Amino acid sequence: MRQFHLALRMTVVVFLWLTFSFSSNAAEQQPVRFYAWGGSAEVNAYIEWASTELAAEHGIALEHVRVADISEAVTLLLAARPDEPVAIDLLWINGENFAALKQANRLLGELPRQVPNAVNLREDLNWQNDFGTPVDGYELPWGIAQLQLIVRSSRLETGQTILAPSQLLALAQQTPGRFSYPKPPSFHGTSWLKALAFQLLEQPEQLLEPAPQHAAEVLAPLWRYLDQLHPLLWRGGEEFPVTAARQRQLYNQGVVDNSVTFNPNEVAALQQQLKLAPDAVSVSLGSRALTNFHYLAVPVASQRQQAALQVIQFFLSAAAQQRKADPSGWGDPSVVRIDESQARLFPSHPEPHVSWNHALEQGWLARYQR
Amino acid sequence: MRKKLAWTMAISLILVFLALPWLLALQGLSWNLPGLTAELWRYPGIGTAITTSLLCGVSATLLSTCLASLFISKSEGSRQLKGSGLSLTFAAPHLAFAIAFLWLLTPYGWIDRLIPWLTLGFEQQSLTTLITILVIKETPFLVVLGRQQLAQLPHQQWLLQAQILGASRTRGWWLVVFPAWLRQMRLLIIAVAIYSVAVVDIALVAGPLNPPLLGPLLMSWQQQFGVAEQNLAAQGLWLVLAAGVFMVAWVKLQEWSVKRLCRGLLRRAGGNHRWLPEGAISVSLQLLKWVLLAVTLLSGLALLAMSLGQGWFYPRLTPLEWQFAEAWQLALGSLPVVVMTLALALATAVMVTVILVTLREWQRLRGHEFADIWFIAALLIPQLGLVIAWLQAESLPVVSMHAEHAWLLTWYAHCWFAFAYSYLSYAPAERACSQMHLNLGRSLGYGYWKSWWYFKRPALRDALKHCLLVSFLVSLAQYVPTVLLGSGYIQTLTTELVALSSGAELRLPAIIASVLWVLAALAILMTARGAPASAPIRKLTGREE
Repeated sequence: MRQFHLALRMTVVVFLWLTFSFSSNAAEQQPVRFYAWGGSAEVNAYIEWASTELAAEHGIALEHVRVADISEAVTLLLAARPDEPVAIDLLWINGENFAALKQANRLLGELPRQVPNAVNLREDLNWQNDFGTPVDGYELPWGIAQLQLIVRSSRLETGQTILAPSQLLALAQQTPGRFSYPKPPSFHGTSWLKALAFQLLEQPEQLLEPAPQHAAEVLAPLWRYLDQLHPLLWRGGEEFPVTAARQRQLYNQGVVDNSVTFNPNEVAALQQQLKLAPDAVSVSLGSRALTNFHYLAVPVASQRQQAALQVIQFFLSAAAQQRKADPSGWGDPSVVRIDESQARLFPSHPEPHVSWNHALEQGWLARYQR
Repeated sequence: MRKKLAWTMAISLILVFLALPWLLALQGLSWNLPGLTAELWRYPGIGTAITTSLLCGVSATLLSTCLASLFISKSEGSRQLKGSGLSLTFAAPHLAFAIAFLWLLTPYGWIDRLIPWLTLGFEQQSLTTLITILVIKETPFLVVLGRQQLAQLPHQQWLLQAQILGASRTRGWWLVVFPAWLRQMRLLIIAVAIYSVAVVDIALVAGPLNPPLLGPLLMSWQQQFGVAEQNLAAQGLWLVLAAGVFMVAWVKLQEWSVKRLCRGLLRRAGGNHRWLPEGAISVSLQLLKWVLLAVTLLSGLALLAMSLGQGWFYPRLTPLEWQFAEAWQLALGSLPVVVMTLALALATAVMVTVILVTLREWQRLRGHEFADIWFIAALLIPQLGLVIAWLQAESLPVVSMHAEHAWLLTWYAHCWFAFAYSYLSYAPAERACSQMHLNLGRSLGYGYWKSWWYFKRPALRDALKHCLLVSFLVSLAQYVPTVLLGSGYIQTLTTELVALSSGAELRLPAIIASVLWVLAALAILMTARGAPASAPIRKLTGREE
């Protein structure tokens, strides 16, 4: 039973240590608990850098709570009673998660007024709508996302920067089983459908209006295209990578010849870090690329709102944005005016109206998930 | 009187500990049952999702039960099959093992690069691959705990009696011992069956995803906040529950079929002829054991290599760079998380063991046995649905903003989930243990717990070690309760692994997975060590080593 005694003693020691660490950490700095996706070493390193800077300059201890999906934090916020304080002070968020929290009145408003650096946000960016939901001051943009394809250079002509849907189909016909895309309704999968719809629909401007009753008819050219493409895809179009991250792993492993990214600087940044095969290049799907933003928001029930606002103020400073855009790190393009934007952005088209999400996702599932 | 009061208080606390989560779940659970016209049945691919989930559950359960039965039967006569090779596979964290397995054995994987003409047949995102990984992981679980269950049966006497009646040892084993062992294993096999039918983590990495299995499908609905998705999530929870009930029935059917077969064979007994190709089975098992060991070792090495190398692009056999210093720095950086993980797992293991021992002793003292289902019911419900029901219960604020509360809540949840698994390991062993020696101690003037410590505890040494081990390992693997109840204050190796695995990173998840594997292996090694129970106790209890 020596093991039992040993386990007991170790437990006591570790408990004492933890109690000590909790009490000693809490005393000095104002903590801000930042819930953010933790699946990228570069993003994690950037937040760690920010945390060091904030501790030194503002006396704020930024704690990065790494989550696999920010919906975990949204679940917590929606489960708490509206009048109940929560352990979440700051969120990295966009899309449906933002819409859910905004609708439930769980976010602090009037952020542009409370964050002075918001005046430096670039006017040329259309960040006031987050996947069709008006931002209305409940979140502030942190970075730019633009859907681009990552393709093996050997499949493209030298210097090619645009891959039209018809060219992709031709490539798939030449090399069956080598291409794929993330499965809708994942974030990247639905975005892929939106980007294709903009290219293939006879009147793409319809996508900017609410989806009509006859949405299926409007989307018919998209489904016709996918019907042709799917048999030529990886696993005969019967299986799809569950996320863009998974597809990147398959790309690096040599299973497929393409992937997708929402970070315009990502290819160069990842190649520099030896995380993406050197033969990868980024191209735009069609002449215009689907562009959107990722944001920062503060829960209305946070007890440390002022400190959280100070963190946003820091993240929107030129220095922090410059660092974020550095391709040797995260490489995420700046949303504020800085000396030089290193992102190679393609001409963009906006997000379709939010109601198209449902039409696209349900249409895809009904046709291809059997 | 004081002693009686102490017993009453202890048992009341334990009953509250066990019942409170159910009360909260009943309050927070959505009673949106999927009727015949429910939206759930119109969800694209739901039929395939149900079929593949049941196929996965049934195949993984059947295959791992068959293999574990063969291993157990042959390990009786073969010292080589008793080795700790299977324990190494048992120690491997599910997700870590799956990641390494895919990296090694799928097309364009490392083995494919090394021997391109070798076709192994394991595809990415395939049901076959998922079932294979589950069988590789669950067979050692059943073997390790199955040996402990076997030790509770007087099987040597039974075999001797069978031999006296003219049956061979093998025939005696399969016709007499095996049905009793299978009955003893029922709850453990049910745990495997439920896990296999509702599996989420490995299914997301290795299983089919168009449509996914029921577990990942339910999780994806629960992570969306639209009315339609929340409706599907509420109905889907009941569907997964129904799949769990189906698996319980399947395990009973398996057991019933085996009993019926054995009875039929017993009726026709008499001849001592060779009725099983024993030699072929022994050789196949030896081979299988080595294959399992090789796959496990290779997976461990693959994780280590992924931790150290950067840029394993096809068709390279070696990475572009080995980054030992960076890997070491990253591993060192995870030290606070390791400490947190260890603290939680150790505290869970100790608490669960104390609760289980108290509960069992109370039942023995009162001479009253509750049905096992009351204690293992937590295994029958998908964990995610249960935790979300807790979060939505209104009578108790489960979401906490204080670190200390979050710690306690997470610890509670770990203990509650670990309790069900540990109960499966400890209760049958304790039930088979005679109270004679404890009563002997009391007749010598010792108090109850002193007698337990000196006389009964040595006889239960293996069961207690397994109880500590199982609760430790269950705590190590907890993700959903840690993330949602810990309110982000508790970061363990598993939460780190899942968060990091959600991206395309290879190296960081590999480092965390390696550390997790090492911790689990160390726990197994620590509990495997120790001297055998003393001869007098063995005599007293009639327990065989």
